[in-house]
Amino acid sequence: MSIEQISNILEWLPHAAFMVNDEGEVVAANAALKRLFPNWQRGVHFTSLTRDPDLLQAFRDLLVEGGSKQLELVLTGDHDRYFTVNLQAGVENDGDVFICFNFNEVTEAKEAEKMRSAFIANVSHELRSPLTTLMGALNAVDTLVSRSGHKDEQLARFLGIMTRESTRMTQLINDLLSLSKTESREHIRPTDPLDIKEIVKQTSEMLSLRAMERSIKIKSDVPESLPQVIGDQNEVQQVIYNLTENAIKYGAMDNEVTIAVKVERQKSLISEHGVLELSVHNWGEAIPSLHLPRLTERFYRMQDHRAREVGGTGLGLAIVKHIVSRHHGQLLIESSDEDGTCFRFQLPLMGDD
Amino acid sequence: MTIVTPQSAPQSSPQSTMVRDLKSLDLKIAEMGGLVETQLRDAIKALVEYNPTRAKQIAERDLQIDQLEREIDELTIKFLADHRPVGEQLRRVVAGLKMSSNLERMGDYAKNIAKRTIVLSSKPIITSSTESIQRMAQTVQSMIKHTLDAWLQWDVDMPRLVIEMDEGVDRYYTSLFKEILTYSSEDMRQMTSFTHLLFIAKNVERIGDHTTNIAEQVYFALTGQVLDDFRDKSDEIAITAKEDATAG
Repeated sequence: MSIEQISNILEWLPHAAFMVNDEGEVVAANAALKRLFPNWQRGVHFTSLTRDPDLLQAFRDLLVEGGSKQLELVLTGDHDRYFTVNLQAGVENDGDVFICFNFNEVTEAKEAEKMRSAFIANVSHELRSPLTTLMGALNAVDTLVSRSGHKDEQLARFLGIMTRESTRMTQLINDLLSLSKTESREHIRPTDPLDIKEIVKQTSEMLSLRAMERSIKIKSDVPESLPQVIGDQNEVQQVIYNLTENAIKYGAMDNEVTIAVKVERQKSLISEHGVLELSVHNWGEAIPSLHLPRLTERFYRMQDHRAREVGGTGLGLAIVKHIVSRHHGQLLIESSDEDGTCFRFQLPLMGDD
Repeated sequence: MTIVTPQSAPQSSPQSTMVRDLKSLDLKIAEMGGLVETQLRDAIKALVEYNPTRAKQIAERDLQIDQLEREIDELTIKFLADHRPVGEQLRRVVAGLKMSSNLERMGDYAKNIAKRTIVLSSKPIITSSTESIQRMAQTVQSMIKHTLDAWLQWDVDMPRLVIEMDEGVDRYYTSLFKEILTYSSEDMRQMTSFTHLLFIAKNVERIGDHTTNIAEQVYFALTGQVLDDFRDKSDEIAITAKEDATAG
């Protein structure tokens, strides 16, 4: 193909594209590219348009190896713009090597995701202070009323509703903050070894009172010796706490909830070397299977009597999901009337080397 | 955009060895500039994400910048010896040499931001100030881009605009300085974090200053004139405006 023919083909592409010779000088570009880089001139080196080191490296590699490459590119400036760039090497009629660059913009998707997280974090933070004031004032009113000896059933009932709902709102905001904090650390892998026994022990202790209210006994089943697993102690504790709290809330009364730990050495989806599994099991009415895949969505509620009775924010399992993904683990859920409900959190084991 | 069309511009043909060598020098500077742009962007990203893994990669990349500075030094000396350039070409290689030493310093500041981020990431998250630093860095990022673009696209107007942008960065830094100081006096327990944030903000501001140095070099290389003339004029306007106000 001649340069003219290639230029024509470039014009048909929806994305910005240009073609350079083996020196890296731009020999052809389409209209979309001229909109992206208004200062474009024929013959300039492409680094005068974008100087990304990875792009330069990809160009050099293609000159030697030929073929094609894809990479992510950020164009900085007044605003960052994100692109997926495809590079393709080719040979002209007269034997000269050329390389085509094709820029596919993905800024919108990136920005939307960033804005959503930032919005949740900011709003939750701003909501917290007025709510704290409100709860303080409610408490004061409650004290004033009881001290005055004034007995009014209506007043007491409304005060009760206000206190209960503001507590629920505080819980919701705390969960939202906790969720956005987990999200912001999601791509940072933890580095410290976990103390699994401590996690199980503390969770049972912290929730024993709640369990007693429903005449539920928390049992734990932890092997004597465990391999070392890397993780964030607080976050893994929060997963087990949230799962156990749910197990108590939704489980059948006068029964038991079991926190178990086991090690499986077979190769699995998440690790070559097997997994360490923390599971929380309860007895009681099963979760209908159509809800199972959607349980970890934020604010997802099963539309039935239980959800309304027990309350909760609808964020507990969403937090669990993010923590699991930060640990490169997986969460498995099984539920039936005969065998009860079991949430299994699997963490990848490292090799022995 | 005002474009100067010098003899040594990329369009000129046939290519003499001098033009070729000048081009390869330009490419080295572009490569070095690209690395610095990426380093600053990644350092700020690591800071906002509290991501120590990303921060550690930045220190490794700084070695490449140092290596490029050495290469540019050698190429420049060889160019001077081989071609004994005068006029425009002489200005361009000398400016290139100065640019590379400014870029190297900018790389060091980015590395320092990354080092402090590693310390910060082990402490509680402070989002408000990191986001302000990110906004300031965005302007600096844009200054670097426009300056390097001006160099490679022979654009005479851009250096002035870049220097004007730096005044905005300086003002932002002053306000950020006060903000961080206020926060840290409210919460003494986080003094270490806030001190690091203060230095990070200063580093970004210094990168802006080095960028204006480069912008001045670019202007000089392209026009043979010193850009200070223009700054004095703007000062005059400020003073006159003040006098008018007093008179009124």
